[in-house]
Amino acid sequence: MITRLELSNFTSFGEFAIDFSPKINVIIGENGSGKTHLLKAAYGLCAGAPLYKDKPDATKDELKAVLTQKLVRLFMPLDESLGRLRRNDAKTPARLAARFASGAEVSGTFNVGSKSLKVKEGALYRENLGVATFIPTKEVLSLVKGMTDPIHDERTVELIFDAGYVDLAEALMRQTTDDPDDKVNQDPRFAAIVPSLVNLIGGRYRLENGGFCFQAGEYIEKVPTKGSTSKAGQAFKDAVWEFRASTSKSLSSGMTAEGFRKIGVLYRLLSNGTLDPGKSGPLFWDEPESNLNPRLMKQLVEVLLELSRNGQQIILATHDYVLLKWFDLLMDKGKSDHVRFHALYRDPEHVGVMVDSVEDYRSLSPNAISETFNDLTKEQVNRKMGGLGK
Amino acid sequence: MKLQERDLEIDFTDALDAIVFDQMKLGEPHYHGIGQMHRVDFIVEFDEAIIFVEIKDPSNPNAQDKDVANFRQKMNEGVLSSTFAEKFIDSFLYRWAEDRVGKPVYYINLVTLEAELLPNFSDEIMKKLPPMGKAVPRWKRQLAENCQVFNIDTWNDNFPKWPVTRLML
Repeated sequence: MITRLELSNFTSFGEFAIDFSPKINVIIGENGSGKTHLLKAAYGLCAGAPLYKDKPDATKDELKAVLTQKLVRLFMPLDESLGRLRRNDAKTPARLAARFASGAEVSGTFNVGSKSLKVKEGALYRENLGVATFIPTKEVLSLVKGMTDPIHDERTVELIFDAGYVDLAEALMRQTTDDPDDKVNQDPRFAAIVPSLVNLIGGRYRLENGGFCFQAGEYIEKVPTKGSTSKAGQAFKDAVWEFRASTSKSLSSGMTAEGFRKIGVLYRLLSNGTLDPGKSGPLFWDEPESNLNPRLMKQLVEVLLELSRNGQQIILATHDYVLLKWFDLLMDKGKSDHVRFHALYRDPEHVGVMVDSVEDYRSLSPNAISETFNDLTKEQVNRKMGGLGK
Repeated sequence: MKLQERDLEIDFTDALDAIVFDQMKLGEPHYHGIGQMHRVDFIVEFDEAIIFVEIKDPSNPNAQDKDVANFRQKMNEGVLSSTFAEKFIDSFLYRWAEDRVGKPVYYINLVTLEAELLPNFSDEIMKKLPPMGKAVPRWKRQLAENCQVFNIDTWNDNFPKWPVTRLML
């Protein structure tokens, strides 16, 4: 769980610091204000976790190489040169630093000519840090087959897709030994989330011949009939979730709506254990609303809140008022829900991007989403009323 | 000319005439007198236009929780936009009978809601005003040239000559 990110002279950031909620963080701001850069920088600094998970005795040089490579692959600077990620006009080196709930810390500095980061890691950084997940703007489910095919050209894939896409494709391909239904029935955390995700889009995605296909159907909760349980009042424990496939044939994922595929990504990450609320690292999600029917937004927010109640930290960037408003409406403080809103903006008095973080989105200033609605109001007045009242 | 609805006051600085239209106290100026007709709060006349104004104040600091909940429910169910439309139509008819609708009419409302909800709510009311979004080639004029809802900030931003203030009563 990441608690703080500091950026100095990094891409569009001057001196910048953001404190994350351990639960849900919603980042808003105009295009070009640095939302995606912020998500990628934080995700990049989490890259030590998978390294140390696979190789607990990895050297500091290996960490340096992994973090450098991750940043370059996430941001894809010109010439694939790390130095190009330093803010233009900066006079001092660029610096990125992250602090985690466990007390772990990591930071990296580099200059224009640097080939790799100078890394400083706190002792706790290599211990038990959950692996982070990044979901980029475009859906990935239908691209997985091409990106991970045994005879694919890795270089071509890397030239087209940044590490956000490639990492997610690899995470989606991770095989699971568990039967998804068993997982739903044995772990109440999944029972509260997975059936609602599947029923939201009317089916589930399965890995078949190296690609994903969509099987229509729904989860049904079967409650045993009276008398079939050993103890009265325990029926709820005996209720079983069962996926009932419809008789229609499976569809290739490319044939299904793009919004459905985004939900399918979440389903897959949960069922193959990539997302394991309470254990996995932060979930970064860039514009969950893109290509999603606004009518699906309420259920998506309910799922995200449920994930957070089970210990999953979520950091998402959005342009969408509907998403913000659903968080505001569905947040249940009785269930210890917490959402922190962060507005990124530029201020002529300061160098680079600034942030305003609040717990109530109505007090965000400046609020790019609200300003868009005000612009609509103004335009209608100007068109329909001319100079009246002015 | 200043008009007041509870603790919200609007100063129509360039108005020719401004009246509290829903005056139902016998003996008061501009007594309306027909309880069966819906009524907007104010009607204000300018050189080239007339505006009808309806005011709702769910963000009033003294508003009771149950009243705010009731307001939100009416809004969510579409009842509120229907009421706004009925108020405009009945007020328009009343003024027609008075022979006081000789200029273009605008329906400009003040509802103390979040800015994000206003454009959608404006469209919802407009959709319920004749001709209900239909094209009617036989019509020579519009009932409402514009129908729009503002909160205090967006009102003041768009109509600097008609400042609205919350009075400390």
